[in-house]
Amino acid sequence: MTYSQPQAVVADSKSSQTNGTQYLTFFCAGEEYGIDIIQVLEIKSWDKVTRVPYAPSYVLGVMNLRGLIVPVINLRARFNLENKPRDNASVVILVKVKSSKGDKVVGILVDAVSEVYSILAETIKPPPEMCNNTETPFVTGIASIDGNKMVMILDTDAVFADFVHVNTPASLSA
Amino acid sequence: MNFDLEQFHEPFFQESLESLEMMEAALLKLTQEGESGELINTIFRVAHSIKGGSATFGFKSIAEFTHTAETLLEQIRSGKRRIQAGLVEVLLKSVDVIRDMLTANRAQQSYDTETALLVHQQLHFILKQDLAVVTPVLANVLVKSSENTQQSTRAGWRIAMTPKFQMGHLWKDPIVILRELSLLGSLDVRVDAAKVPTLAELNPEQCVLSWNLMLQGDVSLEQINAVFDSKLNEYGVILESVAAKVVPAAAESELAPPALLAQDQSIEASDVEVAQLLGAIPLAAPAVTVTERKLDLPKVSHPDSSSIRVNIEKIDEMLNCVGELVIVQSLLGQLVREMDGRHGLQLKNILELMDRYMHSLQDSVMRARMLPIASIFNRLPRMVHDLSSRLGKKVELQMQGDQTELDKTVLEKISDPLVHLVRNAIDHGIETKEQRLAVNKKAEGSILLRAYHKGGNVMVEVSDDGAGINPDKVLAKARERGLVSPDAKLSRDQILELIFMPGFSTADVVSDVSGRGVGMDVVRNNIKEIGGHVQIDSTLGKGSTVLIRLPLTLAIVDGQFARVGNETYVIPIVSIVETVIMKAEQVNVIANKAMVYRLREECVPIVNLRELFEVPSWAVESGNTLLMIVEVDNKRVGLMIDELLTQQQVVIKNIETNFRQVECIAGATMLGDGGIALILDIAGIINCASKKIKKRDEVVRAE
Repeated sequence: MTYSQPQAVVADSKSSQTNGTQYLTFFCAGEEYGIDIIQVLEIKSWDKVTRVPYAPSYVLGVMNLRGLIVPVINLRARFNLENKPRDNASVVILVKVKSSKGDKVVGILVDAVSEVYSILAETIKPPPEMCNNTETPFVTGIASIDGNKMVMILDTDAVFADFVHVNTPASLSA
Repeated sequence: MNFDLEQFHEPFFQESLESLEMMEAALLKLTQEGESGELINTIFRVAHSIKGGSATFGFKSIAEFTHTAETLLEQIRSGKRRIQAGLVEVLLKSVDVIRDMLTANRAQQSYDTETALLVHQQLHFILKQDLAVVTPVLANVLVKSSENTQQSTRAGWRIAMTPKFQMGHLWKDPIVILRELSLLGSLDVRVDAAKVPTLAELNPEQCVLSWNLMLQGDVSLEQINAVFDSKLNEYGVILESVAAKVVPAAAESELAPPALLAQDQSIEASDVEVAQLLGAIPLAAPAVTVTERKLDLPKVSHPDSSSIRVNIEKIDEMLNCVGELVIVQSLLGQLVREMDGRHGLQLKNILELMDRYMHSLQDSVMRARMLPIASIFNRLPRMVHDLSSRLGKKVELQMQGDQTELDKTVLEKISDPLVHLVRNAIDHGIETKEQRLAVNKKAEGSILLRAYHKGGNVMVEVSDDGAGINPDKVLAKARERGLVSPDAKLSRDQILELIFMPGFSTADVVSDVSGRGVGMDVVRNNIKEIGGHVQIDSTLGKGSTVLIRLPLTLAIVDGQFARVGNETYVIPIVSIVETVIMKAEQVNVIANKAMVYRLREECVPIVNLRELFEVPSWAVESGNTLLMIVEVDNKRVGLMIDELLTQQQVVIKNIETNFRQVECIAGATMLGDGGIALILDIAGIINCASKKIKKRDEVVRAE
């Protein structure tokens, strides 16, 4: 069956009046991250994936999204965090990322989804530079919600850099 | 070289007729929506390509006619001429004429030369008119009705018509009058535009033209009166009965081509608008007669349109659908197999029937994507001709098996590599005449292009009888470029392989190496991209052969499912030779590096798929390990698998679309349960395996 890209999650009608970008937030190892909702295609519960040889260790495999072969990554593994067994809250967020060969659809396994927030661009602060933990490169900015909560904006380009920008096949060095 | 052009006639007609329709539509759109560069370009392109095509295939009359139309269109395109209603009319008629010519030529019948001549003259006439300069002569222009070129000797009427009322108030437009009169007999129309005032004085509603008509034929006064609705006075009609009198219509029409646009001395050079306004009126008369004439024509039988053009996406959509159906069907099959009883049996029978139809459906859809390789081969003779004469070499090109069909996508992708290979063969392979004669070869070099089926693949060979490749020189060159270490010992095949290395293809690979260096890596990459393979073989002094193996299709493959550890993979059935139970005593380990299996008299390298794919579960199975012997390009390996599962046609899905290329994996396919299985790339595995061995070798050495 032909499969057209699913429509992005319909935005809340209220929010179109407020200026600011909507972000879908989710939890990964206790922290809340956000993705521009325009990028989000859908949220799926965990389904089995097929392992792909020579893939980076954080790539869980590929899944069948109504006829599309879609790679799914484990965000914890991508962040070099300790793995946590999947539970009922675990979901795969399917996002669209730009690549040199057109848009790609990819899945991110996260601990749980949280909310949709409208965040004004000017309230997003760049990530602090002195941090030397591995998460920083995967974050484009940090926003504070209602003055008491921090949401880190996920840099999907960086997260999927391995197979979005690299055109050469994986080497056999693994 | 003897080259039969006639095989291209049918495609030419088909294409031209199709594009004529485009031209017609564009012309019609032009009248509705006004001038647009895009539309004019479309129209021009059609005329241009029909002209070119018909000239090529020797349809002189079509070429000449279209040339005139094209010249006119070129003027419009370049903005030298403005579009007027009359102009479009004539162009539309030209379309009719071209169509008539094409269909007639196609059916090898004669076309309507009269109409063609008339329209051709009209075109010429327009061309002669320079709109920037007033044409002073044709105040009274002759419009010849083409109704009857045979000069009538019967009596007729001379009619002078000077409408006295304002245009809008007349009962009938003068055009309609002329049209109806022309139905009664042969009608000569002369327009008197002498009273046309200057633009400033012009009242657009006032009819400023008058007509002198010569109606020949047996026409009664009543008939004429009826045409004018008994209002002869209002039209200012003066009737005069004429006795039998010969009007040299044909001769006159040659001297003064049919007029299309009323021109008047008093119109200022810039008054193009007026010309347009007036032009439409007298123009209509010949237009009408011509069209009506066409209707009377016995239609040249339209050959059945035995082919249609379909967007490739539509076929792909169908193919996808069929692929999904196959999956659904296999799901159904699994259920039915578990059913017992009478219904179960019936269902099984029905399912078998369905299976058969499904296969033929899949086949037909696949075939819809296939085209003969001739479409690519036929581009080459011209190139060979040009290049060989430029290089001063004599080359004969032979082609075999050009009806071999290939998937359209595959065809598109091999076009460039093939051109490249043939060019290389002429440039580097074939020697000059003198060199050839010196080594007792025919003065004329020959290049053979061959396509044929072999084991589910299509093979394309490009061979020449040139100088061949000197392995020593290739090796020296490769060493010089640092592509191989100076002390490496390489077999002849390995040396020839070096030609495909990226670094090898540099411009200063001199021709006397007859090294086919230029862009061979590109050739290989292009072919690899579509799952093909290139190989080169050469005998010094005798010539070289490049062998390309191509998959029949990129979309579907007959697959054998196999379990490896706890994973399922698909092996394309075309590459499977046999599957045997692996017996430990038949396994030999060569120098602790490679495992080989003694299969009858043959030693087959063993590839441990679990190891190759780093399958996580390493538990030793209690059951028998199977060895699946696969073969690609005469190279065999044995794949270690744990269990043979079903066989099924699978739709190949690209894994690169959303992920990336994976070595040894050709793609992925959906399973009945919604999961995914990876399809093995056998050629890749054979490569991978040898690389792995090398790698391990290096590791051992490093330790």
